[in-house]
Amino acid sequence: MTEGSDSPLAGDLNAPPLRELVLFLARSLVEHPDQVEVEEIEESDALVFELKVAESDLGRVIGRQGRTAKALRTVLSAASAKTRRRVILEILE
Amino acid sequence: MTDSAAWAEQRESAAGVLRDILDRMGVDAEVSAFDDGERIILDAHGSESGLVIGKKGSTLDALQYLVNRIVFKKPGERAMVVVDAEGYRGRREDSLADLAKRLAEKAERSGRPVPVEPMSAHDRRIVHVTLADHPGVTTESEGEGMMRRVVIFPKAPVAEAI
Repeated sequence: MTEGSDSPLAGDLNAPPLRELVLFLARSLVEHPDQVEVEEIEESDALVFELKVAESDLGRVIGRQGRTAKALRTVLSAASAKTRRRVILEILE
Repeated sequence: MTDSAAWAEQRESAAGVLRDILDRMGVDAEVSAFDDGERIILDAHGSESGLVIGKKGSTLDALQYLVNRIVFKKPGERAMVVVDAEGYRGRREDSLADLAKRLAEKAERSGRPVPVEPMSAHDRRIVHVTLADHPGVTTESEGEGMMRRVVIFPKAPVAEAI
């Protein structure tokens, strides 16, 4: 999964993979943690995380007026400051 | 006193959730937890508290929101965790209150409404509460969404000075 320490894109070597952060937050928020999936896609200018949850859990990761999704993106981008890569979170419906 | 055991349990579980999140953010921080009988306060401290706070406390607000969603999942449970870092929220409250008082003085002196910069609901509330008993001004929020701001109105506009 990880490329090892010689990748120029690795950024802060001590930073844990951001995928773990997305997985942890999503699993903690939902009712069906076993159905949480996170796909990591490398794009030239950004790292994209596609989050999939059980249909009945969608509201729990989006929140009223998108508040939960916004908070997830804020925390993710704070964490990505260490990796020096732009990070995008997409929630699949 | 069965209450205090329940409090201690909730306090520890909230602190655990925040530690788990910070850990996965790669942030090196300690979390202390205490409560005032009404709210649980989690304070993150360490060399990277700037990262935990974010711009105008935006990361703190996001962390606080998520910890509350995670800890109080059941319907009817009330969010009551405050996430802070190195006492930032208290410091910001003090500086917002100072700003509110300065701008109130300006509104009184000029006899004109003085708008405060757009800020979060939490911060607007501090401005309203600070000036609630002020003899010379009233406050109102105006605008929508990200642009919502407090405007400070003088109670008795002074006659136009020459």
